[in-house]
Amino acid sequence: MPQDGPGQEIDISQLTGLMVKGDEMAYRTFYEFYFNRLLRYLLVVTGGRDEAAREAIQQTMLRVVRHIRVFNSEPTFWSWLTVLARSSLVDEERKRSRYFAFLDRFFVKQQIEQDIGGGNPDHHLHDLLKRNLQLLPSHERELIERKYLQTGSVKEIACELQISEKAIESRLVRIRKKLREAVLEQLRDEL
Amino acid sequence: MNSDPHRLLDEILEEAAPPEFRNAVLEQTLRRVRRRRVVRQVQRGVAVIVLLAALPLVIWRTFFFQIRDTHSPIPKFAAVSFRSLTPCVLVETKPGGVETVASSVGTVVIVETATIKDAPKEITDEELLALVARRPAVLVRQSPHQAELLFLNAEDQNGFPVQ
Repeated sequence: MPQDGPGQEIDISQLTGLMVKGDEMAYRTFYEFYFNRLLRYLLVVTGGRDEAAREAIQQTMLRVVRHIRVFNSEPTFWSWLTVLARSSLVDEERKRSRYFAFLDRFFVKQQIEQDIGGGNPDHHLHDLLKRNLQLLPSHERELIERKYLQTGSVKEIACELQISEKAIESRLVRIRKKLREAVLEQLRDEL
Repeated sequence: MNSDPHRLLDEILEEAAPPEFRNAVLEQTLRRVRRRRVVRQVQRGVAVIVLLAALPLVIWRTFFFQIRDTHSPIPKFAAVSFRSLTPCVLVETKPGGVETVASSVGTVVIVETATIKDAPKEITDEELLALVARRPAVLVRQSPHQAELLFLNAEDQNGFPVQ
């Protein structure tokens, strides 16, 4: 079962079967479940270059439409998606005439993926996130933990801290931006 | 991150793919899906049309040629094998070897019988002996209906004028 999506489980063979038939709802479901996961994967593979990741994910989605077939297991489907994502990325880099440079980075990246264990980009991203959470000032880390780890609502947090909800929201935006820049920066440094 | 391990990460990385970009990608994907669906429908339609167009031809060819074949006395093909024959089993013909006998209408003669005016008259023994009176002859009667005339002179057996 996919890890993303709106909290329900999906039947991969049924989903891919409907996608083969050109069912739009099936594509929307696929998008909900896999867009973020593919984006995370591509961000890791591109070394935090979000522009390259965006272009690659566009191409990946189009390739999914062109080559979709029925899959019976989720790991196989995900593996197929990553192949499409990587080939889309290579093609995009080739268009930019940076193909060979990219290949060098890609192979270095593969080595990094092996080093980070199992080559799972999500795990690597979570590790980076945890590391950067520890580097945050304590009040910012506490706010993030309340919101995302203890799953408190903005209203509850605002009541506890006696601050307006709007102020909490803007703080969260600022902290997320800081974390994003730190994570992407570290991904770039790895290549 | 016990309840939703990807939520924070997704929100942090949201700027890498802002909502407008996500919607644009989704719309682009769906447009491609619709286009492929239309192309597939058109392909299917063309296939059906081709099939419908070809079906009468196939039926015509199948049935028409089958009926013709059943009425044809000549087989479509036959395997013929050859082997050389020894001279003793060969029969040769040549012209003129057999004489032709032709019959014609004129060879048959129709004979009609009619009553003769002066029919031959049966003569008695005396009248017979009278005819050969000048020749020595004996009439030997062997039975009531059979008799033999014997000439004593051998030269009379070749015939002589009768008076």
